[in-house]
Order: sequence, then structure tokens, then C-alpha cells
Amino acid sequence: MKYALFLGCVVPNRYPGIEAATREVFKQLNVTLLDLEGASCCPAPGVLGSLDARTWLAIGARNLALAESLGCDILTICNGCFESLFETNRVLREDTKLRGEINNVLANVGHKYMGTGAVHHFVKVLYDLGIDRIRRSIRKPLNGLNVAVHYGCHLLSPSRTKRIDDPIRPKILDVLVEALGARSVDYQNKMLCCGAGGGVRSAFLELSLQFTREKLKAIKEANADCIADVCPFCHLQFDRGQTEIKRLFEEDFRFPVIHYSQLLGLAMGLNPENLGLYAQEIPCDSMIEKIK
Amino acid sequence: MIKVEKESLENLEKIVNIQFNIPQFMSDLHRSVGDQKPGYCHQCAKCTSGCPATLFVEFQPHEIVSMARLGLRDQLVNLKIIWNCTTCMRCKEVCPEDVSPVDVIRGIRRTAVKMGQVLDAHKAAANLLLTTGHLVPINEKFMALREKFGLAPLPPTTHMFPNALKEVKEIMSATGFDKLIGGAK
Repeated sequence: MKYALFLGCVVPNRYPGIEAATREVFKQLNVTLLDLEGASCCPAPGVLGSLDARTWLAIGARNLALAESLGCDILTICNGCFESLFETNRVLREDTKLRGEINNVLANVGHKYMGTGAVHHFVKVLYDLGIDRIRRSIRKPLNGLNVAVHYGCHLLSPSRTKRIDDPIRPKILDVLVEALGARSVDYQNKMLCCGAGGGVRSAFLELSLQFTREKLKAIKEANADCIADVCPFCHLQFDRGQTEIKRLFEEDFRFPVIHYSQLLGLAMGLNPENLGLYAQEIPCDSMIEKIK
Repeated sequence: MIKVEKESLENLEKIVNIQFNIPQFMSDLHRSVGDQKPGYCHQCAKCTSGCPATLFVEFQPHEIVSMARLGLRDQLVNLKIIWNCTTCMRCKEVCPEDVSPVDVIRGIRRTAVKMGQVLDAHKAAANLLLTTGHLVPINEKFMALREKFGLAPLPPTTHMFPNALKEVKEIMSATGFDKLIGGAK
């Protein structure tokens, strides 16, 4: 089983621990991840999708074409990358005229998008590998850990095309977290957006943090030990965001923020240092102590 | 679409100083990449009741759709709130008629951009994409951090492959993106 690993921007350039964790956990599960050499930004659906559709599609199509040349499907570790690549792939497969226009653009750089590949989110790939297989890879079950699971938006939505789980009451990520021995705590506004997307974090930081605050207040009420995410932008919004919220709203939240690759790595018994858990803005020590 | 007599429309436009039903705008919105169907909206407002942005700003997706149906281009492209949507897509999930307000909003944004209304923050982000191939490029601090994890200091992306960056720049030139957002450095 092999995939082209699509790194995106936030993981390799801000949270490389998530990249290291991802490479290691998939190796442990005997899934080969190849480098997609020369990949660019997906491009970010919130910003690029709002500015110009053709550019958004063309840059995405180039990334897809690179994977097609490599001969394997794409694996994403980010909801934003998943949104751009999955939707670009779908739109260009369905609309022949648009595909022709985009291929005219790609011809300038010697690429052609064929529509022969697929785009997968790592959550679905892990789920399809099977809970049993995941359980068998666990060396240090996360017993006693209370996790506030944050799906984010673009893993599941638009659900009519993604068809991964119910967008209002999903279960897939809760099942994956509990398979590690942890407990997924219910909390108000669980499906609320983190606030980062759609170009909002970059243009209206305070507004984006108001979304994040709503989630953090609910997570605090639920007495979670940490927040688990599957999107580096949500990850950044929660991790860096708690520091920003302290500065801008003078409210103190200290929830460790952990990407599912890192959480799985912990349960596999990997060294927390190598998973990047000491390279985040909110210290993860409390959580690491709890599962010792 | 309700048909209104041309003369009464023109009189109304003079009184309230707005222009309805701009054909080019309607056509652009219709052809914008996405699932938008503003004509199907019957103002049930499920989208607005589910929209999280309404908690923080005076934003009502069903109102934006209504304005889009009337072709109120100039009012829409000048609204700051169209940029407050995080594209969470809750509106799209709950709409009983497949209107997809989020795609209506994205279509309006794209028209606004064509008319020169790009937020400075987005111009800056787009420039990073133009110069590095990444919206969030690497820097010295994170190159060192990558090495700590046994990763190559540069990721195997446009950062490591200059030809790949050249290709991405060429694409953005071919689509006119560089000119659209005000030129690369």
C-alpha cells in the first residue's frame, strides 16, 4: 500500500513534528509514503478559492498531475489540503471543458492533468485500515486521557461529495481516538469551526480567535486533558491561538493541542520528543505525564 | 426571477441610488466554480440559523443570497462581512434546496477581487505564494527545527526544487493571477 504524501505548508514549515510523526506512524503500519517532489501549496482553499478560481484549480491540478506521474494516490494530513485537492480533482474530472482550460494552462509547464488519481485524508485511510490493525500497533494505550476531539470543517464537508461521515453528528474520529485507549469527551459546539479558514485568520485575527474561544470555553467545561485535531491549520489556530487569546482577550487556556498523527505515535510508544510534542506553543507535559 | 418593468426599475434605481440585476455580475456568479444556486433560495434562513459567524458579526447568509439574486453587485462587493465567512460550509450542509450560500459568497468575493477589492492581508499572502510557492513559507528557525526531527532542512516542495517554483510562477502568470493581486515582488 503506497501513497504520495502531500505535506502542504503549515506542517513542513511550522509544525514539522507532525510530519515526523506521520512518516513514522505510517511506517509502523506498513504503509509506504512517497515524497511528492516539487509540490507547492495545495493552494489554500480559503485564500486562493476566494481570490481566483482558475488559479486555485490550476495550482491544484499541477499537484494532482505530479501524483499521477508518480503513479499513486495522494494522502493528505490537512483538512485544507484535502478540500483543495479533493474538490479540484472532482471538479476537473466532471467538467471536461474546464479540464481542457486548466490543461491549457498546465501545458505551459509541461504538465497534464489526467484525472486518474484519487485524494485521501489520512483519517479515512487509517479508519479503512481497520481499528484492529491500529489497536495491534499500540504499545502504550492512552488510558485515562480525556480528549476533546475537533473534526474541523473540511474533513467532512461538503459531505455530499466527501461522503466520509455525517457532518453534524460524526463518529469516525471519536472511534479512532478511543481505539487508542483514550476517552473522547462530549462538549458543546463540538462541530464548530476553529475560525481560521476562509481567509479569516489572515485578515481578521481577532474574529478568528472568537470562534476559537467559544470552543475553548466549552472544552474547559468538559474537563478535557487535550485537544485532538486532524488539520494543521486548526492545530495552529488552537496552539498559537491560546497564546494570542491570552494577549488579546486576557483569558487563560492551556490545553495541549495534538494532531492525530502525534496522538497515534504516542499510543505506539514513540518518543514524544520525536513527535514534536515539545516544539509547540502550549506545553504538552501535563498530557504526557497523565499517560505515563 | 421576478420580471420588473424596465422603467420602474430605472426610477427605483434613481431614487435609492443602486443598480439592480447587473447582467455581467449575474453571469459571472452563475459561472463561478462551485455549486451555488441562488435562484433556488426561498429564504427559509436555515443557513443563517446554523452559521457560526452570526455569533460574532452581523452576517446573515440568506440575506447575502437575496442580494445576489437581485444582482446588487456594488452593494455586495463593498460589504466587509462577505470576508468574515470562514467557509465552514454549515450553510451548505443544512440548506434544503442546495443553494450553497458559501459558494455564492465565494463567487461574490471573486467578483470583488476582479474589481480591485483585495484585502491587504490576502495580497500579502498571495505574494508569498508568488515568491515561494507556499502561503506559509519556511524560515531559518523552522529549518533548524526540521533538522532536529531528522528531516531535511527544506521540505521536498517548491522550497527544495527551484524548477518546481518556476512552474508554479509560470502558472500564476498564465492565469493572470500576478496582475490580479497587484504584482509579484
